[in-house]
Amino acid sequence: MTTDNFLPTLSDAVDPLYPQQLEVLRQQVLAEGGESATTQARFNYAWGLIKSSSIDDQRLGVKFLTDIYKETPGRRRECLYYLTIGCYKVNEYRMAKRYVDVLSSHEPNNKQVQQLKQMVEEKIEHESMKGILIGAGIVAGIATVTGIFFRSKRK
Amino acid sequence: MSRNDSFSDFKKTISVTASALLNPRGISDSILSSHGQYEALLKDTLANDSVRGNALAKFKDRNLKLQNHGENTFQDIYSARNGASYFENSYIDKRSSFRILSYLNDDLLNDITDDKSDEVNHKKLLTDSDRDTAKNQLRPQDTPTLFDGFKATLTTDLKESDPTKRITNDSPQLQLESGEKVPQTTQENVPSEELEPSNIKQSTSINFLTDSFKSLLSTIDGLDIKKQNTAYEIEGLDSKMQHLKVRRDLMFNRVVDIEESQFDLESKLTLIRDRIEELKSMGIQPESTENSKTGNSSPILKSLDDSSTPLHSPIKPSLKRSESQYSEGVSETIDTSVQDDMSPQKNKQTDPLQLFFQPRNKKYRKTASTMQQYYPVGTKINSLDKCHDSSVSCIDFDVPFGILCTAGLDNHTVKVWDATKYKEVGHLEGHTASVTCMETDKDYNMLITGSKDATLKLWNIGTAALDYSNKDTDESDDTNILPSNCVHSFESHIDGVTAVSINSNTMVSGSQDRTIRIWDLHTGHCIETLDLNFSSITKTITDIQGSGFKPSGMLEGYSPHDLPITGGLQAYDVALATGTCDGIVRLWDLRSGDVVRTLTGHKDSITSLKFDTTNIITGSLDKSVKIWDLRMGALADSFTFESPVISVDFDAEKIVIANNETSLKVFDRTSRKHLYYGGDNQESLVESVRYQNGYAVEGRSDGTVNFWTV
Repeated sequence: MTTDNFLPTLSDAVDPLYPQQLEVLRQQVLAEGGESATTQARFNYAWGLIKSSSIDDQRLGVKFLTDIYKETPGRRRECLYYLTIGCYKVNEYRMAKRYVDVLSSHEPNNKQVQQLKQMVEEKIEHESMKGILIGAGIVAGIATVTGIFFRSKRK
Repeated sequence: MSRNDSFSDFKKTISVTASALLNPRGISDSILSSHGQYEALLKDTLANDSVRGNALAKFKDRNLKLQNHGENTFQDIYSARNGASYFENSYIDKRSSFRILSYLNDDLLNDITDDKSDEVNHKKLLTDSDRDTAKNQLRPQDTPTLFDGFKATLTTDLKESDPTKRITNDSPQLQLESGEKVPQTTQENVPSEELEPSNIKQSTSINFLTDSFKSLLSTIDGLDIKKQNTAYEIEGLDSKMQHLKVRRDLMFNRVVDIEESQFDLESKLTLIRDRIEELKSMGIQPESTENSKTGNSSPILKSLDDSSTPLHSPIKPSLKRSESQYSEGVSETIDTSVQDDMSPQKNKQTDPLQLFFQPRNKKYRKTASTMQQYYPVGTKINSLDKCHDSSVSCIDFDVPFGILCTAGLDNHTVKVWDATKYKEVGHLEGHTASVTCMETDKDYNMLITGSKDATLKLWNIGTAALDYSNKDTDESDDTNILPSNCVHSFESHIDGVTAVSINSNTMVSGSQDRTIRIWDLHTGHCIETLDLNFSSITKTITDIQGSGFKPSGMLEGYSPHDLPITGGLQAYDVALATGTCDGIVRLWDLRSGDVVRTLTGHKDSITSLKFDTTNIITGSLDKSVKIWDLRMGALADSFTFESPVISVDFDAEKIVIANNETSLKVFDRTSRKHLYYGGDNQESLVESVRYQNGYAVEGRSDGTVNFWTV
């Protein structure tokens, strides 16, 4: 169960919050002074954004996570983990791979990190495969068409 | 098809290719250059470096476009309600914009330090993996992750803002809410407010109670997480503050260093200026000396000294300019031929006062010290122990951290101090009785002192400091022969001088002979005399003498006759204010010599008076300080102390008071608070004080001088 883990899994980043909830988180950040808000408040808003269904909001969430990463050296390991998930969600697999590689080099024994890494790699593989399949499909299609064309010509 | 069969072989090749393609280096190399617009801009700027303005103008135009597009400012968390507006700009698509904005460079990415706070997180992450199967229990010594904090926020803060209170089963926070569902009572949620003790006592439903119990437990857990995360944040801020404090100390020391070297250089500048003046007065032309081209004047000094004879007659102090400690090994004596050269000029300008008021004796300090601003308020910056053997009767300084002059009660000498280095730089000898009042000037390097010997003297502090520094190095010069730095002695009063005030080109003084005299500083003549033949004053004096008045503290040495008739006075333009022993403040018009207004209220002698554009502030032996409104001509404010007030100084923000107690009294005029500084030494009493721009100097009865930021 997800509740047993202290770090979110990819599935935790799926369900969007209600807009009102997101607005509360946003207001919390603004109330604490925007850029100078506490790490927790900004993280809450960022994570809320990443959970949302709009790609732009998700990107904004990743941007805020990046800020937190830059400003809070003590939270960097954690942040890399969230960043990986965020990037994964906005389909920036190159960035996700980059982050998770660094993270796993620092956390070789963490099961969750390794799981995440595996997922990212599988996803990349899957995406590449999709590309190859589409490419192959097109090639096959062209071959079929030309085959038919030639066959009809021979007749 | 045959291609299908080889797919499994492809798989490995593909992932290798993919990982090569997705190599992090790829992003860092291409992140900026792969976006045409940025590249073009970059190239523009670089290529047009010679035509700088052009490139900048272009850049500006583009920037403007960037900002005008849409009403929102780019990259502003306040105005950007969502990601779309945040990343929107006219340059590139939102995805590229996002990638640029959230790009972490390699250095930053790999800079995951293993400092102490990080170690905690490190362990934390490791234990997380070990705890995969464990139940949700908090380890108080570990800082919860940000995600814990997020979940906690969901359970505590966001519950109320969930609009539908809909129960779903696929996310952790909603599960918690589902756990709160209480079918029996039709309540979906059990907010803690509804859990009144009475409700709990009256409730008969076990389920309701267990659910409430669980819900509260999770809320408490959530709050615990929030607490720990906030505590972690405080730790972070603490270390940041520590860091900033170290940096502040560093910067502060830098300011101190810079100011010191500034002062050093300025004093050298003054020396050079003096020397040039002197050389010019000797008739040496800049063109005739090849040495001047090298910018080094010491060869000239040496050549002069080579021909010098030990014969040294006192010359006019204002002209006697010589080398200081900065040009070492050079004797201060000036050869006789030089004096012969000067003699024609001596005839031209016989009056030393006129010689003194030359531009060269003007203060050449361009930098005002601002150091007092950087000390916390109420800091004792420094302390000079045993400046005088007796009580410090009067004190003055020109600018904060500038030149400080002090006079002791039993000593007829005035001492000059460098308030930056806290050392004695001069001795002014000439008075034949103790000095009772003094004032430094803003423009000239001068000090005016008034003494019980009925004279006022104008001193040249600049030459005094030079002579003092040369005294130790020069054996041939006996201190008796050392010329007095007294430029002029104003001798018209027939009794002790008790108060003095400089008013641009004139000076006013009050004396025990019951007169106020106005002097022209440039001629040295008394130009006006005001008599204080008021019945109240005469009556006060006879009363005191008759009753055997016993003054205390600083006034202990005074016989009743010595009680200052004019305790304080100040002139500005044609206006004069005096505070006298009858407790009355009089405002004079100097053109007619008449009293235009009297302010009554003090019940005893006024010892100190100062005014600015709006207020007159007086201190009196009746233990009170009164603030008078100049326009209304009435009392504006008054406060009373436990001892007689002796000395008062003020500006728009603070009033600083010396009242013969162990601590320095400061009244903050904006917050209307009384502050006491330095009352630890029971033996020494504050006798005199001067204040300027947050910087106060006080002299005490044991001869100590303290420097404060107030």
